[in-house]
Amino acid sequence: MTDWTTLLPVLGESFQQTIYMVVITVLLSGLAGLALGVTLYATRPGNLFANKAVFSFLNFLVNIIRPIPFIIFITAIAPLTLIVMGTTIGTTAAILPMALMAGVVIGRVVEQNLVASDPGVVEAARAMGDSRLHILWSVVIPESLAPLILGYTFMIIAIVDMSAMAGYIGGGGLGNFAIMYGYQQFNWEVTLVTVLIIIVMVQAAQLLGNFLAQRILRR
Amino acid sequence: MSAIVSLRGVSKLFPVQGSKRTQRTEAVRAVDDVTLDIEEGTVVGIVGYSGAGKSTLVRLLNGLERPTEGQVFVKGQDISSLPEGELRKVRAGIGMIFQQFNLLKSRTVSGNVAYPLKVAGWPKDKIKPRVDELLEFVGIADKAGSYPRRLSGGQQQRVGIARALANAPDILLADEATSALDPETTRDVLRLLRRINKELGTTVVVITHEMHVVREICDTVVMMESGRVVEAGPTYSVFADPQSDSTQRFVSTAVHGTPEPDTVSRLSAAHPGLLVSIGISETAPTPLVAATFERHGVGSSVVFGGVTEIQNKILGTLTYELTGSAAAIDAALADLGDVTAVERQIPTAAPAESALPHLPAPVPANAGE
Repeated sequence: MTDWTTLLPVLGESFQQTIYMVVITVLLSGLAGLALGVTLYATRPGNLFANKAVFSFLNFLVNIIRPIPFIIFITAIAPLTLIVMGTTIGTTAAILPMALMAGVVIGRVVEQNLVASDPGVVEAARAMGDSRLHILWSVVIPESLAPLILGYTFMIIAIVDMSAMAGYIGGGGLGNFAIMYGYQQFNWEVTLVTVLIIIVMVQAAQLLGNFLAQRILRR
Repeated sequence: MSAIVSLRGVSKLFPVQGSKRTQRTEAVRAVDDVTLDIEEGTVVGIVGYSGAGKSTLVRLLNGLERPTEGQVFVKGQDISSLPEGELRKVRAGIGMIFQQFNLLKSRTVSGNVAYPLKVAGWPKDKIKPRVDELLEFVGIADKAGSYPRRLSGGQQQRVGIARALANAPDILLADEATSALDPETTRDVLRLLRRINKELGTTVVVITHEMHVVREICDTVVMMESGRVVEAGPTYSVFADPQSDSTQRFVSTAVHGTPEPDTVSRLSAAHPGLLVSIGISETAPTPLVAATFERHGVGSSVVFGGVTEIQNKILGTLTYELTGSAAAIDAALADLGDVTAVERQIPTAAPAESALPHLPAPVPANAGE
């Protein structure tokens, strides 16, 4: 039988660790990804700040990093993690590789949504004498808000997924909990409970995202 | 009158990526050596087929595109080499409306009209009354709080016009502004543009491929083909006497012309008299034509054609069936030939047999009814 009286506090702590990792990563990668995505969009040939060199470089960078399996990426950038975070083990150390990888992917998601937006409104804003930076901030992003929210929702779920893998390098969290107390102790019940908690988290995020996007789309 | 916008030898080249094999970058001349003056306070139509360079030309006027060669003067200032910051001030003084309206879908009607005011740095308390005033002017005040998605095409274009007028521009550019609208709405929007020109004194530049738009509101026409201006002049003279082939084709879409050969065959089958097409214009109005026929004792009835009004002057072509002696007809046509175009319509080979089946079947006399 599973001893839930001793496991429950551990589960609670793991849950907190997951929330901590996910929230910090979403904040960091969300901002970095937005900046990266907007830059990719703006420097694309024919767009507001068309710049082939910058665009090609960023595009190449994203294409290099994105296909690396996350579990390998964590170990591959361990030297960088050591320099920046002072350690390669633990919840905080896991945030750097998570934020980097998620930032790159969010950058691509943001770029793709902006590229799909109507170039006519950008031209209209330029014709009014608006500055290019102001157009990015007050036309391009608001006009794509609904798909951006859905894109971010997708990424929050991907980050929950990443946080489970971060457990492997001692990052803690629900992933670590499921592996240590479930998989390694042949306790299927613990694995199942953890999976259920993750499903609830993901569903909550998806519902919130859909709700917000719908509200904007209904205008 | 003086020119508010002047183009001097303006060309715009767009690079086209050549094939990898030749490694050559070719350029497309979207606008080719255009010299043009747009008079202050007029409505100018720039007409041409798709790809004639109209849209590029209009974007050179507000600096959305920079000329590859030549100079663009707006209110006397050469804008062709202005830095972006200075160009923004010029653009703020030129309104622009678009075929697809290009409204911000994330903002309400008020929000859209307020946008250029915010960009121009209007104080917050002045923006609201100005937006209300503009929405009132274009007749859409009741939709202030709606989102563009909820509006019809005509309503959206009115919002676009209110937005373009926000900073009281001297020039309004309309890029195919009515091409996405139905005929009824098109008329309303054209009337609004005319009113803007009359009441606010705004110079309006209309880009269109629809000649009836020009007929409705333009004082002058500029005809473009392959990036070049092939014809320009007052609307009535261009319509009455088009010089280039493409202008003639465009004019024929909005003004009645002479009948096509198969129409002539059909007409002659139904009308035994001589068919003659007469150009109707200011110099040869319909009463004059009728009086001339009467004077020579020639019977006449209109069988084809129509007249329209351009800049308050009549223009069109009417095809008459004439009856009477050959000498009288010749004399009448000689008189008319002095003042207008006269063309005898002779049906081409085998009229009756081939043409008759196209005629509506004669109504059978129904016995007993």
